[in-house]
Amino acid sequence: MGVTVVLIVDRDEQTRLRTARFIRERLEDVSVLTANSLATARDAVENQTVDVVVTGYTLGDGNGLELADYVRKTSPGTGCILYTDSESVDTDSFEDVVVEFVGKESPDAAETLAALIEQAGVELTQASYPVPEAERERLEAADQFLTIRAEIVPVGERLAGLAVDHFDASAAAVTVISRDRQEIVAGEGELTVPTVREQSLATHTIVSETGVMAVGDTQADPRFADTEKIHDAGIRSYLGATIETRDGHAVGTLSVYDDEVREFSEADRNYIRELAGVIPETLALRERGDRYAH
Amino acid sequence: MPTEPFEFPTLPVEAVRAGTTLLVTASGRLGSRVARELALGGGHDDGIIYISTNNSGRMLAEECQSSYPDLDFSEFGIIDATGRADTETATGARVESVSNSADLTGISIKNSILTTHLQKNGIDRIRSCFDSLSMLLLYTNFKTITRFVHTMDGRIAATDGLGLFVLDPSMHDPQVKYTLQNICDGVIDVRNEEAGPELRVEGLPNQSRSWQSLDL
Repeated sequence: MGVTVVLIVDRDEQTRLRTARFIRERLEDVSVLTANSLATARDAVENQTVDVVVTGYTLGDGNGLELADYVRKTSPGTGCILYTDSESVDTDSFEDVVVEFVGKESPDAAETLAALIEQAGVELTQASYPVPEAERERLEAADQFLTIRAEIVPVGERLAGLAVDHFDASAAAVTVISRDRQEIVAGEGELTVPTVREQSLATHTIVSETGVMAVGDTQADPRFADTEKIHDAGIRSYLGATIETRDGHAVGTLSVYDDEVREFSEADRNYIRELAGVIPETLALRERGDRYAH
Repeated sequence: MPTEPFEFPTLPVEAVRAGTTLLVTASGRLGSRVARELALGGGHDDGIIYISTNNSGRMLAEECQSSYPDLDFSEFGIIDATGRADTETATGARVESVSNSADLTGISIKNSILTTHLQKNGIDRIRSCFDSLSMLLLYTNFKTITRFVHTMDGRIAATDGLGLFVLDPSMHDPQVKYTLQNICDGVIDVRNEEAGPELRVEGLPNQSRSWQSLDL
């Protein structure tokens, strides 16, 4: 298990330090940062990965919902908790930000805050996309996978090329889904695939029951109809299959993109699944080869 | 923290562990009726927070007073998410409102405020009913709804509550139900047959997976 990074934002120094001290004492495996204003909090989020932001409402140079709005746009996997003694929070311009709220006056406020930090930090419970079970472990596996990126690229490019040819598609890519990003490890074709996780099609593929996801028309699918990056990139249809580790974590996908509406058959789904399976098979063979070589 | 399971003696649903979220799916108003029974039925002592997108706060409180005459309204909180701000009621329920059905941030905050209100009344187990996600989806995009359900699911898990999310699948693409059931712990599907309504539970242990008739 990794360390959960928590940013405490409050303009009152006493409150800030008291909250930070409580979180350090109450939770294991946490790293606590502090900030006293909207500007310094933004800097902190920009400069490093923060798992959970706990913020007061009035910050002097702005408010907690402005900060949450910024966090949603720059670090979508980060949880946001408004921790304040004010019930008069103006949500008018922030209706779709969706934050947790803990009133400082509530019974067990600090305990509730700690429980919510654990939930939001460990399970990414405020994401705008479905999150696989055991996401922390999956993310660790994805990081591990990216460390052997150079070895995956040749086979990934070959598979992407085969996929483009077979499906007569615009593009194909081997992608890895990390906390906030879709990393393009290898690709073939012209389309600019979204690199932000919440805008990616593959983040839905890695939670599909069958390990394969087909989208005949991205403009008609409610999961993607509002995602401008997908439409700006000219992605109209999609077929993807998961790349799984030996432990069963879906670290990424082999994805095929086309600029036209199309239907995908059962045979198409089976083919992309077969192709995606080549990557873990190749890595397993390489591992066995290494063992024999030594 | 309380860890006793939540029970539903008036419905063919076995007890579920504290911290469970359920997607209740049915066409038309049937899903609301079942979710309301899951939240209010059986004479339990749990607190209730009801997020209403269809009936105003006053109307919902009065309907519940008529349908559940033994309900203790000091344990009942309502969020009027219709935008009508019709919150005055003589029932004793505490009613909060948000300016419109798209204000999911407001609903999340009011939900926490009502939780605090109930806790101050000595209640530490809460059944939250979101009736309905289908109406909220008319006013906001699917990504925001997904974030909202995730956030509420996280709170319910962290506070050992019970969460009920009502969805009418006939109003949406199948992927909407698929994505939301992926976030929730289980699904209660409800359908209307000639002999009357039936339900089945999926995704939870110790539950019958076959269709069972129910009285509403």
